[in-house]
Amino acid sequence: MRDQRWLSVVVIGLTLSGCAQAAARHQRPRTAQAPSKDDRPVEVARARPPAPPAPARPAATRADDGPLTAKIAPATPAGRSAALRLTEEGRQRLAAGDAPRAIDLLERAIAVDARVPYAYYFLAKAHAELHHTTLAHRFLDRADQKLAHEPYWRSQVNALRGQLLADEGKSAAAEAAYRRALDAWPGNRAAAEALTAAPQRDKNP
Amino acid sequence: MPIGRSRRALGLLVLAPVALGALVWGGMHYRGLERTLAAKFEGRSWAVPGRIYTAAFALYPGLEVAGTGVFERLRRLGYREVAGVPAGRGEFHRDPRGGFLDVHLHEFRYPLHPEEGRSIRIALDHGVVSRIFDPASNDDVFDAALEPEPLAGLYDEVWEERHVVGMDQIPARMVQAVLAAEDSRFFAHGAIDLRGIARALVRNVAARRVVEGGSTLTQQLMKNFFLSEERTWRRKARELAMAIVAEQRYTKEQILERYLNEIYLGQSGAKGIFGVGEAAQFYFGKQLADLTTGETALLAGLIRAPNANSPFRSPMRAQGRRDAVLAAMAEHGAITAEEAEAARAEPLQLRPYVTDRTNAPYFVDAVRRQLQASYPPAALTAEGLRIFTSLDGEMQVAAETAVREGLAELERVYPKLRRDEPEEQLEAALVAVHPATGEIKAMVGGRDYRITQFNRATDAARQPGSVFKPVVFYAAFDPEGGEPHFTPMTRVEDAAFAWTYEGRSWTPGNYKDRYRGAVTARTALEQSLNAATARIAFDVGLPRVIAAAEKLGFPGPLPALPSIVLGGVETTPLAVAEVYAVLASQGQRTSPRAVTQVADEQDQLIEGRPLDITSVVSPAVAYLVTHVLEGAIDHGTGSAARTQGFRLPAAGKTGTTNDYGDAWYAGYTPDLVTIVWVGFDRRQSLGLSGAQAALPIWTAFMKRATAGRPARDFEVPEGVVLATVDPETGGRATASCPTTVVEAFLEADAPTNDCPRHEGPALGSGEATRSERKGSDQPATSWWRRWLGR
Repeated sequence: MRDQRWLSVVVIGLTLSGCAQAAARHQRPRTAQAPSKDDRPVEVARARPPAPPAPARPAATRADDGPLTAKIAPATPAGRSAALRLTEEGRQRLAAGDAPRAIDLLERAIAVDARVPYAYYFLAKAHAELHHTTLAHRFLDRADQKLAHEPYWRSQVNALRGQLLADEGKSAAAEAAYRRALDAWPGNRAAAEALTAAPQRDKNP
Repeated sequence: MPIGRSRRALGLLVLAPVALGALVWGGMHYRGLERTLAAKFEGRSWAVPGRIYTAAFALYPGLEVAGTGVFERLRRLGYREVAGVPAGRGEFHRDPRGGFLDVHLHEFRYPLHPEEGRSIRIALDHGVVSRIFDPASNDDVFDAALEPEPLAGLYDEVWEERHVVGMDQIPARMVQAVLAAEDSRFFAHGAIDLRGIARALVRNVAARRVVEGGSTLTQQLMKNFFLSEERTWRRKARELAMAIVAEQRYTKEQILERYLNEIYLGQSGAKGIFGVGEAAQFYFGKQLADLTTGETALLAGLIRAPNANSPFRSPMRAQGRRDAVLAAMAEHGAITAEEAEAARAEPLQLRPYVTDRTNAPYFVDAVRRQLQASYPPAALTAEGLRIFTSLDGEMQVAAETAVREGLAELERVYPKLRRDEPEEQLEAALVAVHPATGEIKAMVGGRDYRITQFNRATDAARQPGSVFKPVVFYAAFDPEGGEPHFTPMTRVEDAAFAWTYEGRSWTPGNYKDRYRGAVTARTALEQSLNAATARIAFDVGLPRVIAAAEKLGFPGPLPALPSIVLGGVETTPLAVAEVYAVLASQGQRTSPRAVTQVADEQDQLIEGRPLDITSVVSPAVAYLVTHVLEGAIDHGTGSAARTQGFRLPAAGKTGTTNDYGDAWYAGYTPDLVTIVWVGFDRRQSLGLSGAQAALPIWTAFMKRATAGRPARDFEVPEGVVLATVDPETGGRATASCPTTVVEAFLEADAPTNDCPRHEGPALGSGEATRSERKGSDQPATSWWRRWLGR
């Protein structure tokens, strides 16, 4: 009789355990590519529920050209927020024509959080303005890697690459880059205008 | 002709040439003095040493102020804590309730953006920065930073620290104070002051000793410029001649400007403080324009005996001299009696005297060597260059402490490591690099720079041992290298075997000759199994290993010998840091940078050394290696780091050479790569592994260097899938699998079949996230099994 009670406890325990494991499994995402990370201590991070699956590529219709600080949400990790702010500051210095100071700020953004992809794009742009072509290409490569899921920014990266290649006299490669820019985001006026201008330029060298 | 007249004529005949000769000689001498003076007045007056600075410390939300050493940094920079709202530059105030920290920044001449000395409020939430803003306008400040710390001067023979200022930057009160103290009739007399000399003579005779000098400022300047301290008539005559020439050729203002920049006003270690501009910074942490009347008088009072009257050494004497100068100023009408009285009542508020707690001598040597490749020696030591580096002052202190205490502890626990001769002592090197920017954040090249200046971090070529192994695993995981390629779950035989090459045989052995049979690639790296690693290298082939090493930045050319796969090739800690930085930054190589900017004396940027990156290896494959090395630190050969309290996400590898002559630990977080080497300069056995000798130093450093900074995990790149698998079979875990692990795979390699050994319902898709348990062959036994002890 005592043995039977023990057996019942074990059976009930096993059943509950199995249910708990099954429930946990049910919550796991189907895909686990590039889950988002945060800046909180790892103990906290591991306690979080799994990240949602990576979204499918969104319809590329909206320009993402607002201030980068708009990407900061209450849940944005502190380091990432700081890097976004520094990147925005760098972007503004670049727009004001101060490329060296922009580089200073953008490098600092990468030092704070190297995952912020926009800093690499603007570093490429700043170096392009200073005619540091090799460096500009290298930062574009990195930005390209990191902005694969952001059509607007991928388009900007390709448009800038097109501009660099055109300046180097590599017309065919530049045209291909501009086309990739338009594929990624059809609203890219700079790429569209460059493509329109290219045949005329070829006719009137 | 009368005799008298003929004698006079003869005398004239003789004297005329003598007089003419004297006149010519005098003229030539005068021209010579003029030329000498012109060189001082019209050319570069002083050899201004090059100055080396650390990096600025960026302040941003998320930092913990105490953990990142903000108060230590403020102290080293000479900020003064005040009870209320900071009233001037160089002051800070802590809210007693911990809600904020107010800092009135120093003015600092950055090459690209002068910091004018803003006031910032750092809002705190439990000690963590939540916002930084301008307290007056409430506007956010995004680019706040504590200015760089001075590290060292580059000088020829004597280090004269001097901030040269023009007359337009020198307040009238400063001039009045100096004149009252040293030469009140400066504008009234010529090169010499006969009244002054007479007055000094009377006083000296009365006192029966020299209590007052009769030299004018111009004479003092000439003495300082050109002459020695010897008390001879010859020197005095020359000083007088030069003073006369100077007074004729230059205005009083020009002479005064030179004087105020030339005078010696104190000493800080090896560094002499010269000129009122530098002295204002040194004693009060202020610009000249910000000095109070009392502070101005105190500086003027230092001129006669800067060290004896130093307010750091003897505040009472300094205040006594100050009061005497104030009295003289009042006597000559420069200030009113009330102003003098108010200035006498001023409390002495000095900038904290900072002894150079860190001057990173090995790092400074490395910087000097880099600069010598681009700049002539005279430019470095005399033209006032300002050299900005990547070093983090607080991390450097942490590195020096970790090395010093770590070696002392090793000698305490293992007395056999002690040596009597200082040159024979146990040594260590540490270098820490930011992987995304390549900036060298800390560097220790040896135990004691005073004993040996050999920089082991940059120059000691030693065998890295197992620290090389991640290169083998990169080669094995990379499908682009060819087939076969491995996953972390691929099984490999850990057993003694002979690698035959070119008619020779090499037999890699495990630690204590213990072999584990079939293990996963993960276990081989986590547990640093030599035989299994060599087997993997044998399977993929040496050319692929060498190619991977070259891509990762391992200095070559590497010999095509099997022993390289276990680190049988020499390299330096800095070179190892470069390789591991590629892994930490997911395939991006950044050359280590010590110098970031060089500016000239006028603060114009001469040279910027910007961040340069190159994508050299696959981010996904680099991540696989990192993921396995995370296991190595969590429960492999580096697990002591966890037991010693280092908790952040990190990856790392121990290294021990065959003869136990070199002990290494190479480890990284996403933001900091740190390499530690321990050994003897003359190769001798330590009898200790990397985990025993180098890892404790690494852990102590990393705990302090990463404290207070936002922690983050390694980013999973495109092309990597995390899957829950059975570690025994490598198949997708089922509900029946007794142990499961989360493992990283390249997308194409992710397991598609369920575990063949444990039939049961599949665990979802088999894919997981890093939030779940990271890969390990250690069983992740379910709670009920543990409860029932099964």
